[in-house]
Amino acid sequence: MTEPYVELHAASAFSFLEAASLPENLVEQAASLDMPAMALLDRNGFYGSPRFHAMAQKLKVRPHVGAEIAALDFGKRIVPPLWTGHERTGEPVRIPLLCKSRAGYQNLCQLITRFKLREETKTEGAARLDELEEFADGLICLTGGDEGPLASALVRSGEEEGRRTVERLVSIYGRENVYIELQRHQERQEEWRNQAALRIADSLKLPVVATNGVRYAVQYDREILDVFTSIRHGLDLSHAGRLLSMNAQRHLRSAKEMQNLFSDLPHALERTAEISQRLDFALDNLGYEFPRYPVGEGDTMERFLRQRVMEGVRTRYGHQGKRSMLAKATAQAQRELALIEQLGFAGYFLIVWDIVHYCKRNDILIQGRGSAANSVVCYALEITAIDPIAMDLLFERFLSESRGEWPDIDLDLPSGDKREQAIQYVYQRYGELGAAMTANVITYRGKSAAREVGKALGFDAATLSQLSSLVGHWEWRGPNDTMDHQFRHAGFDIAHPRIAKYLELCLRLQDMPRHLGQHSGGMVICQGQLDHVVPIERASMPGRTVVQWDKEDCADLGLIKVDLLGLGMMAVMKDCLELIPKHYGDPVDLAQLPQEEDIYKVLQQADTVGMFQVESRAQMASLPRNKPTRFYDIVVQVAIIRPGPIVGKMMHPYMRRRQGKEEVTYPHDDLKPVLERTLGVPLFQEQLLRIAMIAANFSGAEAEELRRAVGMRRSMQRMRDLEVKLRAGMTVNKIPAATQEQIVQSISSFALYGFPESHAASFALIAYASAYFKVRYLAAFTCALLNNQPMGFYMPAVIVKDAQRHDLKVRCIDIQKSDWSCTLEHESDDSVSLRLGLMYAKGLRQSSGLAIEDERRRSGGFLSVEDLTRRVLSLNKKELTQLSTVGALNSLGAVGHRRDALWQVEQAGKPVGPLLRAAEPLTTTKSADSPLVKMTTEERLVADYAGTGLTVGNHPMAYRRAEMQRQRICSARELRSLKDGSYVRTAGCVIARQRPGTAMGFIFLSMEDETGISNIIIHPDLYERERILVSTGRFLLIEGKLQNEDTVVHVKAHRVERLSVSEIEVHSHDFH
Amino acid sequence: MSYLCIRVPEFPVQTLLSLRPQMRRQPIAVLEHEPPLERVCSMNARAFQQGVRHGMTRVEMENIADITGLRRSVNEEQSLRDALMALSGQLTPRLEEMSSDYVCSDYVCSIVLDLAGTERLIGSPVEVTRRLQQQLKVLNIEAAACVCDHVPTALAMVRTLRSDSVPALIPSGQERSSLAPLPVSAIEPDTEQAETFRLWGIRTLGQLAALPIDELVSRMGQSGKRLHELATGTHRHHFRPLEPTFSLQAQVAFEEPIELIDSLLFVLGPMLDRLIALATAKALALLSVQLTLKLDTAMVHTISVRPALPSTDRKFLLKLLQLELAAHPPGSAVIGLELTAEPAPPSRVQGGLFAPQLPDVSRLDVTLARIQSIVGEGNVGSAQLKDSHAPEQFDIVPFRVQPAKSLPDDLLSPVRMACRRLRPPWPARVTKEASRPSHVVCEHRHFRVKHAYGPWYSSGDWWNSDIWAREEWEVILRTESAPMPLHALLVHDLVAQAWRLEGVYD
Repeated sequence: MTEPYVELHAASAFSFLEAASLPENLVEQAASLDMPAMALLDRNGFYGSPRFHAMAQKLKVRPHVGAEIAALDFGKRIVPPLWTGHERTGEPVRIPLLCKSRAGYQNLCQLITRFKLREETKTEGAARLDELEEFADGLICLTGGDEGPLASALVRSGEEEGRRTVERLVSIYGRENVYIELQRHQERQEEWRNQAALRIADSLKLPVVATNGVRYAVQYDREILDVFTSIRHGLDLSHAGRLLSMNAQRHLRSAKEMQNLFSDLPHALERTAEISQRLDFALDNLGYEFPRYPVGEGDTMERFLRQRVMEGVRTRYGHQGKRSMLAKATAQAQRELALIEQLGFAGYFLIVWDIVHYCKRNDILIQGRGSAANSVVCYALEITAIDPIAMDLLFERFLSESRGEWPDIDLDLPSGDKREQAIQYVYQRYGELGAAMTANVITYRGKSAAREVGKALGFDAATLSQLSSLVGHWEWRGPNDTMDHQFRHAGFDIAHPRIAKYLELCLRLQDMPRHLGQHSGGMVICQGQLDHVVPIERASMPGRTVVQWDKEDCADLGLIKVDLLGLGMMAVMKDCLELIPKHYGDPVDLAQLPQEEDIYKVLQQADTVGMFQVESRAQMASLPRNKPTRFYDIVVQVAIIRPGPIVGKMMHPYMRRRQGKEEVTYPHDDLKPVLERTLGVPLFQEQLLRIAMIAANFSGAEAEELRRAVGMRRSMQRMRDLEVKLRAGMTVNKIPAATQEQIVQSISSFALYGFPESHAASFALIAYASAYFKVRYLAAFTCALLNNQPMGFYMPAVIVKDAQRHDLKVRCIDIQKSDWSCTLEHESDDSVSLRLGLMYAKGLRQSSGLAIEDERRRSGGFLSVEDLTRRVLSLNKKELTQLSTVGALNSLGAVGHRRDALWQVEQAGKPVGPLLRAAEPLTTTKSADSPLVKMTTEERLVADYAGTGLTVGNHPMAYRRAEMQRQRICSARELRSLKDGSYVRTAGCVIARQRPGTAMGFIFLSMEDETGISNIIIHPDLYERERILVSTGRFLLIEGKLQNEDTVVHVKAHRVERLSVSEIEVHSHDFH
Repeated sequence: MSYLCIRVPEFPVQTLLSLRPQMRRQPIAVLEHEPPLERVCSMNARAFQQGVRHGMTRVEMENIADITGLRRSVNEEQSLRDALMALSGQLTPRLEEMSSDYVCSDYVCSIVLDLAGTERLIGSPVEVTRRLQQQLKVLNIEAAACVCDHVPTALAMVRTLRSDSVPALIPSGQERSSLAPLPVSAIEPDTEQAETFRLWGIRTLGQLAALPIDELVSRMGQSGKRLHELATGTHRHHFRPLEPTFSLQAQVAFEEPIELIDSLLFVLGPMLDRLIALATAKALALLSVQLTLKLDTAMVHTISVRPALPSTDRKFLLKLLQLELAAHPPGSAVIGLELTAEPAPPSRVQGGLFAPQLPDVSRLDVTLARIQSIVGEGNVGSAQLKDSHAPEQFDIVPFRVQPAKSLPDDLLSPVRMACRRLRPPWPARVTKEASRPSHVVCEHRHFRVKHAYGPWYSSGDWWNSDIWAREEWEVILRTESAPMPLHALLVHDLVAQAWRLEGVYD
């Protein structure tokens, strides 16, 4: 009978570019080989351990934890011979260490953190001897394969040095914890080292153990490892030579295979099981503890929280408008507090409260979103702005006794410096070893895989850029959108073996980790000892540190995180709060914005360009049908245009019921209280949970599992398991099969993009505020929007044109008036107008823009081009040319038009040296007689779009309106008054292209002309015929049938034609 | 003084079609580079009308119906270029080939003919142009032509003319007015200059010429001045006529076929003398010598020698030729010889006072040539390892005496055995027991495997057609007949599924 074999030295693709299989694949292979346990030792970290652990538990393989630790003082890794000419980077050797106990794990975490944080920047780092000694307890040390210290010593100085190296390891880890490791990849040099290692083991009376130094699950994946090696060394495969692996023997081997290999050393195999028995630690035993909030002496966190909450409840509900709800709110707060105390979460709430208060003290706009908005405690602590009592929100969605899970609070902050300030506060408050960002594992996706595999196969730069530009265009993948079809379309012969191999490798690289990035805002906090739980390392951004796990891994292992997310619209809100009182004289309180009918009217008309969450084409198409009249309608509106409700076929029934075209019914009478608010159609996660609890008798814990499963990307399998249970529960409750199907469909469609009601409410609040500001204070809102780009659905050009259609005066960039950012000006008729900022002059550096602003403030306006260049020395010729081209210098003395300025800057761009500069007389009229001809309207338009991406003059389409009218081409405004079903011709500038995954290959174009935006639907067949035109055409002429239902207007295109309007470089926003 | 400028656009496609007139009516595109990275570099008008563009890949081109793709032939282009020069040379001895002012000069051929003095011999410039165009027609070539006293003006004009248009004739003094309507691109400004003109709204050479020169120079510097002069037809052009190339060549024809190689040497000696004299006159030496033997079978046989250093040593060069001829005999009687040589500056080697004595370079060359004549070409030199795990990966590089130095550390291994490679390896039949070789039949002998160490696996180059995979065993073989065992390297080629005995250990 075959003795069991445990692989104790395997690395996953989380050893970034040094191994080629995902942890899950390694475990699956181990399970298929009947391996009882397995250890994952990635390079300098536990990056892949949570995924390895989760899969191993599922497949009943015992997961052991460890890492290969780079160590200084033990020499360098073996490298190819000198004559090969490869760069000898001299990486330190790596010692494989396995965690025997939790203490060992904590030591290893601290060790990695210590040497990673010692570095100033994000880099691999290596441990010093004294650090290895300090953190040696609870660890088992192997001598390693060719990356290890023994192999290095043997190759460097022979057997004696090898013996000394092993003796040093024994002195660090203790005799009983050091094993001489033997690997057999059937390479001669390695066997020579093995024989030396055996003699050393014999002389030092140390045990030997066999491993296979696994780098991939199956032999076939050696190809991926070779590609990774090429990428790592920046060489193509043909030039990587001896850096590549010699053979494909580093795969997971069965016990039988290992027995054949080590038939002369059976005890080396038996020892793997012995060591496995000694490894007591697994990742579910982390010992993580959420930080306590420091309160005064004699006080408790619970009491402190209770006081803050009650104060908050009085503030929130104490005023006249809400006094009726005070009693209810107090009771609810008491109930929540009791649960919070019972679950021991008081510290968490106080920490979040502390961050929120820091932001408020420091003038940083902050608002909680997500399920936290279901809680009165959060509302009272000013973490959220949604009143859960008034909105009757379900607290259990946020927190429940049975769930045993930490609450999840997401905080929205204005993107940029303010958010960074809040993040730095958390670092400073909880210490470098107490808080860190969660990681974001950057994986190979279509484009990156295409580019790097192409490089590895030695394609030239032009081919590479053509190849990688092909990949990943649209979200929808139609039957013709296979990669090979795309390749053929772009002119590559996929029958050619090299191209075929390229394609295959690109596909195999998908989802492989490339490197570790940081999550956009998730922070993990742990009472000053986060480095006991997970290693912390430097992020590439200065001042940031990051844990080695992503947010899903953190959640799986029970680590609590606070999300400090950057939201562009929050920055817009913040700017509006400053601009409105200053320029309009009106005080504004974001929490007390009046609910006004006018605002809802604008929403009903879908006049929503620039508004938060309700501006997309799909939102615009549904707003006239939903006809929001109160705040809750916006909550629904925000949640309904999502892939979840659309795939779940919930959008249309809701709209029909909303319009009274369909009767409101319920799948089951018991579900009426849950679904009443949304007219019998389930739209929110909370409703789906309640349905599961009512219809299928799910317990709280099961409901929690369901919620986790629907909210996570990696949970398809978990969802399938739960589905079986769900159906069984419904059958018990005698729910008919068709209804069951409907319910299951609703729930599983949320697997990709679920949306909780409280989250929708938080977003709706911002959506309403943005609508309010746009309608009431258009200049301030547009100014704030333009200053916080890129964000939202539309390019600045569209935002400006939309604002102009709403009678806002938008002034061009003017060197005498424009600041770096866009600003507001007061016209003679007291109206407020918008002045474009210098930031919109493409290619102008911010430092130059600010220098212009400063100089003008200090010494007044500029007299001439000469004066400008003399006073703002940082401006280079390119920048001056750009400013001239966009007309920003037209207001200078002796400048009649843009080409005058261009003529002058060409000379001014070549100033005399500093010695003579002062001596040169300052004139305002030098070179005034420019021989150049003024730009034509068309040229000015082209220059505007090329230089600023927008124009404040007429829309390009306006110049050809008369001609188009003769050709019976309708404007966007005219389309609205035409009858449904009429055959129309329309034309415009494409401002957005979409091919949503939910639309079966249909493409939606938004086209703009001087009268507004029109919506075009392109059938997949038409797209196939006119692929290039639809994908890249800037100005299009569309012929087709008009759909005009409920004031929602679309043109279903039958024919597409290129429209020759101008050479303008208009950029559309294409959504993939 | 008049100049005629002719310009052949889309030179690659015109070259190919000039020899394939039956294809002229078809849409033709010319592709360059190796598959799968082939790109269209040139096309005829029909192909352009059908949508073919420069830079398209082969598949993109093939997606357009009925396009014939031809491979670019640089040799044919060179021979057509020579033919064009020869035709032009019949009209005037002073020719200049313009290419340096073209970014993609490779795809265009422009020739300027100095017509001074041709009027009496041939006729007016118009007549010369007509004759040249007639001759080009015979070659199936279309070219734009312009006659002008000013070369840059003529060049600018031909760049804007279609290849099938009537030749332009710019009368003296009318350069500026003729240039005025042409686009700025006719004088080929660089990208930055073109962008400046675009911003200024300068589209034609007339607009450019109208700019005040001082103001222009203060903005664009001397390059602005040059462009202004080009636009006004005042730029001075220095005509650089093509000179006959210096060539080292000698020929001889025999009245009777000669069969003995030694007899050839009597003739070769004086020929070599002549070449050496020609080279020495220009202070040059012979870098390589090529001997073409015309055989009585109407075939030619070519050999060449290349000494380590350029030489003018007659005896030495003759010896090298003799050895090369001995190694590669012509195979039949010789009826003529042609000797050509490539010149190079003579080498001067300065020996160091304390430098170790090195063998005389010319004697070493002769010795290596002798060895080469025995072992064959490419088999003499130093072996240089290639960076690969693959077996037998080495290059033979020219032998060079290098100062002795110790072996690098990584070549010093505690255990190192010598393995004598069998070249070519011996095919073998192998029987396995318990997955290990037990019997080997090789070279009609039957061996019993006493011990087998291995297997050692190696594989690589999986990304291309050179993929290889091997299983190697070190075996101790015994036969009944021989008392001593044989220590050998046994290899199983896993791609070809064949066993071989590849080496024997000392």
